[in-house]
Amino acid sequence: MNYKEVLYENALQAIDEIYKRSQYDPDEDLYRSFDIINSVNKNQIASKEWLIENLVPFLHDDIKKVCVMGGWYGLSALMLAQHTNVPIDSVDYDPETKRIGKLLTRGYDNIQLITEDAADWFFHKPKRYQLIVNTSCEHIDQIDLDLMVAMKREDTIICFQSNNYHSIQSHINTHNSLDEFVDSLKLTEVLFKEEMKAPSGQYDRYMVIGK
Amino acid sequence: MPDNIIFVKHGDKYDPEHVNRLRDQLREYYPYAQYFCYTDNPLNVEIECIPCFEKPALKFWWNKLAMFSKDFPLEGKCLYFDLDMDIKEDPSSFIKWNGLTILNAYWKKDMYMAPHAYDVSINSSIITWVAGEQDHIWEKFMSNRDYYMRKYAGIDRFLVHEKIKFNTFENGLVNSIANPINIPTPIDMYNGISYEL
Repeated sequence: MNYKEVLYENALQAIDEIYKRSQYDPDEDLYRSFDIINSVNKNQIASKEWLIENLVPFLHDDIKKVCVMGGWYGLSALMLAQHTNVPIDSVDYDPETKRIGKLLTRGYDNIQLITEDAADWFFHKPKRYQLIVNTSCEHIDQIDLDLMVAMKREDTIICFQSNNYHSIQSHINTHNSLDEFVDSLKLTEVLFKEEMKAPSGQYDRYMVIGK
Repeated sequence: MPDNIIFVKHGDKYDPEHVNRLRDQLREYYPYAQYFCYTDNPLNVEIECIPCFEKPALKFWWNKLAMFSKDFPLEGKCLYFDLDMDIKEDPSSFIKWNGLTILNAYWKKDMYMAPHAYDVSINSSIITWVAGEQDHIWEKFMSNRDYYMRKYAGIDRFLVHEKIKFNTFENGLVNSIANPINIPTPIDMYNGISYEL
């Protein structure tokens, strides 16, 4: 089986476990199963494949440690792990993402799932990583993004994604265009930038790789 | 009597005139209360404005939860109104301060609610509380806010399904225009339906 088939099998197992627990535990969170489905839906897969395709050329030897901020159940880390053996920290403040993410990424010893506010995690160790990935900048306060860019090592590469999906309640930091997003980050060097229409057609996703 | 009467205006769904009009209606019954608008845009709002927290930035109704934060800069008894309300008479006989108090959504009493739809039979269009005493609600929300905003379509569902302790006002405080109660009430509420000022 390829990694994607294993991912789907693991996701189905996670959902199966939630359903079974819900038969006996009134506090079992059934929405969590829907959240797992959404985390591997066609939009998520497409945006991460797009990320990997364009990020891999920058995965050179001096990248020793990677941080995926707001890593959810670890999909970005899992897809990165197909191309690198360096340690990947996937950080998310939702405590359940660690337990479920361990199931979805099992077999990959270089992926560490961490329960912590990703911004706070990074601010306490801003020089640790040579690559920072954040595919959900639309969820992050601009003040935190500004600080991340300002505090990172000069040579650390960032790969950030955002979008113009304004109508979602939790999207607090969307942009109207790729250039608006790139300009908001005030990078010293832009290595790559591109936009992509989501498979659903509902929004455009923006990506920038830079320093 | 309330020390503070608070409105929340975020985005462009409501105009400053909605705030000013509601203030005018309520001032007849609460002349000694202080009036505040928690907003991202104070332009043309005629009462004192409290700027929305810079971090976390929140959208739509989720900003209502910031009122419960210990960092919300008010003291004393608070009375909150959604902006789609029409005050017709003095509501004071219904208004009480007993922990967190919200509306009973009488119009949802017989509605089928699948457990995993998270629908609820309460409504937070009117809320009373004492400033600083409900900070646990804000803390709970902040502990996993993105997940809660995905899971719940609004703060009413968050309050009920995250087991926040609350009381309800007696029926008869509001009449929902979309689902009339057929008894005289001091307040009409439009539940987001467009209405003319």
